[in-house]
Amino acid sequence: MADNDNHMDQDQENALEEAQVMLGFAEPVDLEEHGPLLAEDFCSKMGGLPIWLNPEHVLDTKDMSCDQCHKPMTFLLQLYSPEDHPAEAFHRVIYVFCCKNGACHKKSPQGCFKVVRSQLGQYNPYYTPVSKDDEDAAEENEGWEPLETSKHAKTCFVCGMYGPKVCSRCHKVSYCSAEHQSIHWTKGLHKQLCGTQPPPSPANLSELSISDNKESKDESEEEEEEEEEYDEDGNVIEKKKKKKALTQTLTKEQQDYANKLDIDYRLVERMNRFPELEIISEAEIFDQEALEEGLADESSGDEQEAEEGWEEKAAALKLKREKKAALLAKKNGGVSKSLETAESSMNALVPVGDEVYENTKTDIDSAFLTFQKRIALYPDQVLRYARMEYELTNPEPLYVSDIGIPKAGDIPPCPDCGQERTFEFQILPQMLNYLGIDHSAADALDFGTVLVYSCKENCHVEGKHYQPEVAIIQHFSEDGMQGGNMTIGPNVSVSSK
Amino acid sequence: MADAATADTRGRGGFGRGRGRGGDRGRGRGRGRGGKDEKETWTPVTKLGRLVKDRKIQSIEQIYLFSLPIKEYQIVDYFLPSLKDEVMKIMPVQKQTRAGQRTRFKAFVVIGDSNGHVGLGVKCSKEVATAIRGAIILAKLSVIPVRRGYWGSILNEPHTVPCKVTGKCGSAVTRLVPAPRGTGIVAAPVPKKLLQLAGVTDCYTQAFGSTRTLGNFVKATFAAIGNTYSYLTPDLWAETQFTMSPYQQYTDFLAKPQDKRRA
Repeated sequence: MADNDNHMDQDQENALEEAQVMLGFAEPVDLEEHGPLLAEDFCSKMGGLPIWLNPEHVLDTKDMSCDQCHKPMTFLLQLYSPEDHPAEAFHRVIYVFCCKNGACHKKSPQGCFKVVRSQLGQYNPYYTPVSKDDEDAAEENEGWEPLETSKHAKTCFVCGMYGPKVCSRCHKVSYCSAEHQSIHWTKGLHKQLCGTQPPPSPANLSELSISDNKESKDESEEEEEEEEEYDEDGNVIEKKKKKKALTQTLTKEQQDYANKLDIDYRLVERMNRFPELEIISEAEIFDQEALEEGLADESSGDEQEAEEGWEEKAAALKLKREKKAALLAKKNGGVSKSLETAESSMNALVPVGDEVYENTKTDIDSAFLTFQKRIALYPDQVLRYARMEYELTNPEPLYVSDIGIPKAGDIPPCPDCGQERTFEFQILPQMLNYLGIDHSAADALDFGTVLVYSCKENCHVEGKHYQPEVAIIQHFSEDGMQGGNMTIGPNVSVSSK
Repeated sequence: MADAATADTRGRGGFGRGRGRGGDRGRGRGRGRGGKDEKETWTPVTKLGRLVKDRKIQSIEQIYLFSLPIKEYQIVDYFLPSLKDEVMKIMPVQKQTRAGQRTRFKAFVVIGDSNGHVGLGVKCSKEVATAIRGAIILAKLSVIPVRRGYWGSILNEPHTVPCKVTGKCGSAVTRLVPAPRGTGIVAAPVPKKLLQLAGVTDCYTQAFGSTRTLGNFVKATFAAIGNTYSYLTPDLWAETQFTMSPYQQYTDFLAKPQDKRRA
């Protein structure tokens, strides 16, 4: 941080107090470049199925059901947000789930968003302690054995949470409940596909098109040989295998199944999941001064209209005042009184009358105007992450209206350690554009912003893998543009005038 | 900028302040696109904005009919692309501070399409250009429909206000009176501009109170124009058939049980 101090000017010392906000943008997953999203990528994403940080212990639907309709909630987004203290939070993911039914949100908005935090230490049985990209990876990772994939928890094909039940026919696909099994059976076309070649893990094949089969026929043989070379390195072989499974040539029967797979996954997606996108981060760079000047535009009404030729008069008056003030200061030694007298003499020059007082206040809610100004710099942002620095204070959340601002007492402290919960990030309404919901329905999901508060200390409890956090929803106000003190309404007195 | 320096030294992208793991993908890479996105695409924030972008609402009158608050000016831009704006006045206003006078500029902007829609925006800012820009946006947000009627025989298009309407702001009162065809707008320059942009062809006006205060005068005229649609004339005595709000068009359909819907 020493470099930063050198760059700071005197004026911007105040900026030290507040850290920058990191913005999140939703972008489609780049399948050709990187392939599908995996747990080892430690990425942030929205929609699709959740990628569990801890593959052995996954969330159960009974912990993640809507308070209103009691159905399992849909996965909304996950953020990989590691922390340095404590050591158990080396890997840290925040999962946000929400109920897809907008009617539940209308009844009680606070019970329809649930947030959990999952964290892992650096030395865990699932991921190599040091990234393979580092130079000393080979030494550090020596002697580390990953957990067998057979010990990973079975996840429901439809929602991604813990799936103890299995399809009774093929015994290959897991479900969390009979309801999801019936959804997959009917709308997911499992009725036609049950018993045929089992699909690869749904977490890795979200929106793939398996139309390149013919081209890769030659490559497939080469790839098989290559695969064997990498046998020792457990992680790489898994990824390649799955990648290969997509491009591998299939027999006609398998090809038909693959085409059906396309429909299979997409149907399931439309029914129960949100479209899968990756969340890319970018720092927010803005001119604090210009923003503050813009925000201060709403005057308080104590302004007076300047008379003609105000520029020269103002300059002349300033000189006069300064001379007076200097004289008085010498006499009294106090500055404030002299300023007051100077100001009162100034008042006499301003014309008197009712035209002096002008009401300049606009009646749209100023909180929304502030919000709009801030997001105008990056209009398609979907997320604002506040906890970016340790030494600097975290910025305040960007509220969308004056109503529903949570007070300190509204946010319950962490139940495990008793520490207070501080603001971590907020979800913006632009995200609703990417969720593929039908906005014209009366029950469509809608919110102003979702503020997520999490434990300040990132407390760790042995055996408890998912700790609940708090989400506060704020809606837009119903105010539009009114006329101020204009009377827009039925004509009151017709005959008199 | 020091703020940019902070971002650079910490490294690109990623959420959170810990070291964490990079992974094969690289934790939080920066955006693929370089810098600013295209300015033309509008990402709606409110539900109404999303409905408009999806073309679920056909005209702005549907929004007026249900008095839905318009919070995004791009909605008005979408329905009324031919709005013309006119800066009525730039007024410097001063505030007394201990360090002297703080001068700011107040801009009055009137916007309209000369065919039944007007808006009025007032914005104060340290710079003239910022004030005008802000006032145009506020004017778009306040666009209101104007009802026009006939003075005498109901021939051709409506050309004047439907009845005598009045609007008041501060001490300024403006009264609009229907006029026969060919009269033109008989008014002071300020309300005349507003009425022209509203699409009113003929009108008599009477002004009371202190009309030197341009802010109150133009707001009073705007209020009078807005009152044209709040006045209950005899032809509106018939019972209205209520239609469904754009937010509720599918409620009945969804409320039916699943089987009946399929049939």
